[in-house]
Amino acid sequence: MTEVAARPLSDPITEKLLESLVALAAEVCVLRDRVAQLEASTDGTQPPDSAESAERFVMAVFGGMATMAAKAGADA
Amino acid sequence: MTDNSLSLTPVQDAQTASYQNFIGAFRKLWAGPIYRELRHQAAALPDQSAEGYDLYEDQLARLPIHQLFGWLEHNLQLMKYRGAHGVVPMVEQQRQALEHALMQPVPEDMLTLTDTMPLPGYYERTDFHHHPGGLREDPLAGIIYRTSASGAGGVVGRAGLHRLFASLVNRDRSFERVLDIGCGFGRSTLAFADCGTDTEVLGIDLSAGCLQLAAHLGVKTPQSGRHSYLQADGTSVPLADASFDLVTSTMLLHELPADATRAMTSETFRLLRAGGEVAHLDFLPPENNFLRALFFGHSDRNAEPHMRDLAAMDLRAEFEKAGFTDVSITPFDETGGSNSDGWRLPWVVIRARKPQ
Repeated sequence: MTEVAARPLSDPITEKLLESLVALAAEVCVLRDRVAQLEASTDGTQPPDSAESAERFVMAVFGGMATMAAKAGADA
Repeated sequence: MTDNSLSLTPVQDAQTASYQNFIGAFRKLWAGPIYRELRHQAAALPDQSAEGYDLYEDQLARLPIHQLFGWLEHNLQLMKYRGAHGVVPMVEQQRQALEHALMQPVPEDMLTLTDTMPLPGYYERTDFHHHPGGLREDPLAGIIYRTSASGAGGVVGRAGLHRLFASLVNRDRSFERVLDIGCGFGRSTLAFADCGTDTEVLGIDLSAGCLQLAAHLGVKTPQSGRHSYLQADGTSVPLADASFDLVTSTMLLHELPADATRAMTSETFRLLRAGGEVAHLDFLPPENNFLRALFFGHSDRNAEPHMRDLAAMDLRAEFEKAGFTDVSITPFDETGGSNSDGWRLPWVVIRARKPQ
């Protein structure tokens, strides 16, 4: 079995933090969906579309990554 | 008696669905806004000439946003397969039922497997696309591959891709006997079988798990009876000379080392009738330094080491050396004209003809 190494982020601590943050956000996304389903069930309504909810969530939490990276590049 | 009523599609629980939607959403952010910002910053790098490529690649690698882009490309793929609610844990929970469904018989003439065929070294060494364990031994490898390809930004399962390619190849001429090398779980095979009511397609692949799945999925299709599957290596196909009038592959060449591509090209020539054609859908790096660097980066980050081998080959010369004429390499728009401004792989169609 061969695993081709990815080019990591320059800073290993940042890389580890990002890995944890994305994993945590994924779990939050799962839980948000679960809550939305339970609420919809209680209210007798249709739960929101999971894919659309995920897009809004990811954009809200991580959408600034591009501009953050641009600033980091400018500061370096 | 064939029993294809058993499901070969894993039941996706709510948690896995939410998790995979998260990955799909993140891939949209990665391929869209993050890619466009990277492109914007990369445009300011000093040496954009072909001669200065190595320096350019080094400078690009230093950009924080390039590091972020690469990290996401690599890690979202790993999460899709092996994350907390990835495809692999989901399939593992249903292994017994899925294996039972897959082991049901299919019509005898639809599937031929062999347990004596040696697998090539490159195939045993690489977990392509980070597919855990590759497509080699696990009987459910095809089901895992299909599930992964069909969701969260998968390419192979993209609706319409295979039909677009098959339609293009059949635009000016129809083919009766088609060999589909590296057919996987049969998407491309079915697309070619769909091109003509007289068309018969043989799909070959190294993966027994993929071929079993392809045969099962094909049993109840309208094309049933006109497509079948054989476990074989495209560099040495156990069939007579001049058996086909089209040999095709979809996303295969970039998985092969150069010597295997050469051997397959010669074998293709042998298998074609005079006047027959070969058509491959694959990826080649653009001339543009930025897109070229992302292409090679994808090769490294997505466990597809032989993309570099394919890029280094003079394909036109290789095909002509094997005896082919009318060699063409043209871009292919896999989106069907959606004019996406996001990151996409550089698709090409490679075609050639065996002289009359």
